[in-house]
Amino acid sequence: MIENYVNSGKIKIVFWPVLNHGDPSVYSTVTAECVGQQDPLAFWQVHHTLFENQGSLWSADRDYYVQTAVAAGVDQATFESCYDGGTGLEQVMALDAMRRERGVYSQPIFDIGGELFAGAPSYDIFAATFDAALGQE
Amino acid sequence: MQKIATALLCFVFLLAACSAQNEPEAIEPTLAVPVVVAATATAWVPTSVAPTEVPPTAMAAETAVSNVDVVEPTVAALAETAVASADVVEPTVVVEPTPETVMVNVVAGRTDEGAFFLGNPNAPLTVIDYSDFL
Repeated sequence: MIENYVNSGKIKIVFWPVLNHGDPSVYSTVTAECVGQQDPLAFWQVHHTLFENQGSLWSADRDYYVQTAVAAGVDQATFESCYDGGTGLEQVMALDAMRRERGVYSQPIFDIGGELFAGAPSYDIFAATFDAALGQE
Repeated sequence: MQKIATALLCFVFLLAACSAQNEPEAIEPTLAVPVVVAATATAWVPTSVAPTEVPPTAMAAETAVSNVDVVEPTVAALAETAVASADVVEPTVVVEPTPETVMVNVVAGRTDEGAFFLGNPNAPLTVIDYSDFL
């Protein structure tokens, strides 16, 4: 998807956090948020890492997330200030509130050109949907 | 004769009790909400009614893909130190930067609302991924 649609400039992907699993959702999302505050590109690296290690997130502690952030190359002290200080949490909670206002209560939900699609199908189906939406432009 | 009749009766009752025990208990379906099949082999059906821009107010989206237990996060818990509990299982996966797809000439930034985006800011199509890391 990155190679065929993002790199080519066809689509812009927006990640909108959904906090539906309590504290583990919050901790992981705040981690990504605080990394992104220093480097938006690093946000996507952490985004990838967190999904790749999803099984660990249920029991991950603060140290785990600090390590994740440091591995992404951001400044540890700055990250910890964001993570512990509440600025990351504030932003994440605001985004979560907005998605509820939009009627999004489960995940994943994809807004593709204004239409909502539920679930995570295969790449081929994503591609077909993207192509169809792009063809309508 | 009476004893035989009594024994026969007991035997019948015993048989009835055994057969009742052998019947599998009916398992009530636990899924209380309908599951919307999001993707078939050939088509991905949109869940919303109107293909419009996302309005700032509530949008009707009848989706029930996953059972969701919405739990309010605890603000104070974020400032706590490492969890110390005998029941906590340490993650076994070592946190390392995972190999990434090469991103060429892409921009990363924030939308006006504060969500992170990746790609051409002026791309003809915007895809919003509403997701939880868990």
